[in-house]
Amino acid sequence: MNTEVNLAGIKMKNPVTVASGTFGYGREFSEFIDLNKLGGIITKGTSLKPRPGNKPPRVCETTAGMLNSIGLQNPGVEYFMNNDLPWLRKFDTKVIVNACGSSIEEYVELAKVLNTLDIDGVELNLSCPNVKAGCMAFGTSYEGVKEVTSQVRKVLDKPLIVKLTPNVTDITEPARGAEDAGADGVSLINTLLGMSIDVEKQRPVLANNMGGLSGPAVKPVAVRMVYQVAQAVKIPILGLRRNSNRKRCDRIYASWSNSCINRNRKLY
Amino acid sequence: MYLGFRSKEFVILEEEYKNISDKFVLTTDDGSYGEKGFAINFLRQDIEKGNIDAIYACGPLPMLKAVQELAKETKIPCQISLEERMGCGIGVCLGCAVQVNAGEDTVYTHVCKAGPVFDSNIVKI
Ligand SMILES: Cc1cc2nc3c(=O)[nH]c(=O)nc-3n(C[C@H](O)[C@H](O)[C@H](O)COP(=O)(O)O)c2cc1C
Ligand code: FES
Repeated sequence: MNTEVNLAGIKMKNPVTVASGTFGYGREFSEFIDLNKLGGIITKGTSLKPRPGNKPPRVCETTAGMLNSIGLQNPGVEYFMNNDLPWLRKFDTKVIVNACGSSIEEYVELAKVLNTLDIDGVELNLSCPNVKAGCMAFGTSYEGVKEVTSQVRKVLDKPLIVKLTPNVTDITEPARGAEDAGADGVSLINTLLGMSIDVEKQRPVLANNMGGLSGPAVKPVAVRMVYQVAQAVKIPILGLRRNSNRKRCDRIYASWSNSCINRNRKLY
Repeated sequence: MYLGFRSKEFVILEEEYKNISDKFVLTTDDGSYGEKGFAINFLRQDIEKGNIDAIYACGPLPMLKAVQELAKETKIPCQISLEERMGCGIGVCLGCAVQVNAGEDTVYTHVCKAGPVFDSNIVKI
């Protein structure tokens, strides 16, 4: 069976990729699965400079899901370039870097570096709810998304996918912002902002108080948003969805997404 | 072996530990069973007598903090076993963070992959 897809200009041998942040840079999972089988790997959110991440506790279980406030802990693009990228390149799979910044300048600087690397595409993370400045701040409006995306577009020749936050009133607005700024595709959804309380301690479970909700609990929201965005833009959509129920997920995404199914593999 | 519990109804594994220990001290905070007080106080007494070469500890964070302090103060080598909420258990999600001593910098390591047992000098709990 020919499973090849061309997603936003990235030719993948199959439409299965992993969601950013649930797969690191692939090393740990390579002990369990053959990375050559994946259509592509979307890396952990990577910034210009290393980021230590948020205080623990950073994760917490919720009904049919989890909250996380990792805070984009990552070793920075320079480390990635010298260590993880050469290693990832040994596998027959596409490498897409999830790019994060806290100002437009930072996004642009990062994009300039990424443009020089041997990678197959960039997923612009305008949607992380776990860092104070940046990310989600740009991702919630048509104008914000359009501004960052078009600045990045100017310096990036590689396929550019914009990852959208679901923490908005109307998801089609940021999606159109990405399209109008020249993005090759959009991916959705990132996590929904949430909070969980430890009743014994009488305070939020996460040290950061709030975190991003993911998992089966958010799936209907994701499906609804993919549906809305598919009607609003012409560029391809990556529907981020865990592989918990393959058949169902194939059916939903095959019908709603323009071109691609992206299943997020994650262990609990 | 120093085994501490809140009170009598929480006591577990007494026989099992007794059987494998040369010296065995069981404490409860309220004195409802065994010695009264925190296990660490009895450990301290034995350190002062010069009977202790190394400490291996697990349990709730406040207790581990106290053990860490004690080890530092008395310069006894010490390893502590940490717990943290985990998402993946294999070092991918970066959920199970614990801070390490790195001067001015904030640096985290991860309990699932780098631990769960750490040299008590390394981690900031
Ligand atoms: C532990 C964890 C870390 C994540 N880190 C990132 C990240 O660095 N960048 C990003 O764009 N999304 C990140 N995400 C969001 C996921 O990529 C995905 O969008 C989200 O989990 C929703 O999909 P799901 O419900 O199938 O898990 C993270 C999610 C989790 C659970
Ligand atoms: S539990 Fe995921 S990194 Fe430790």
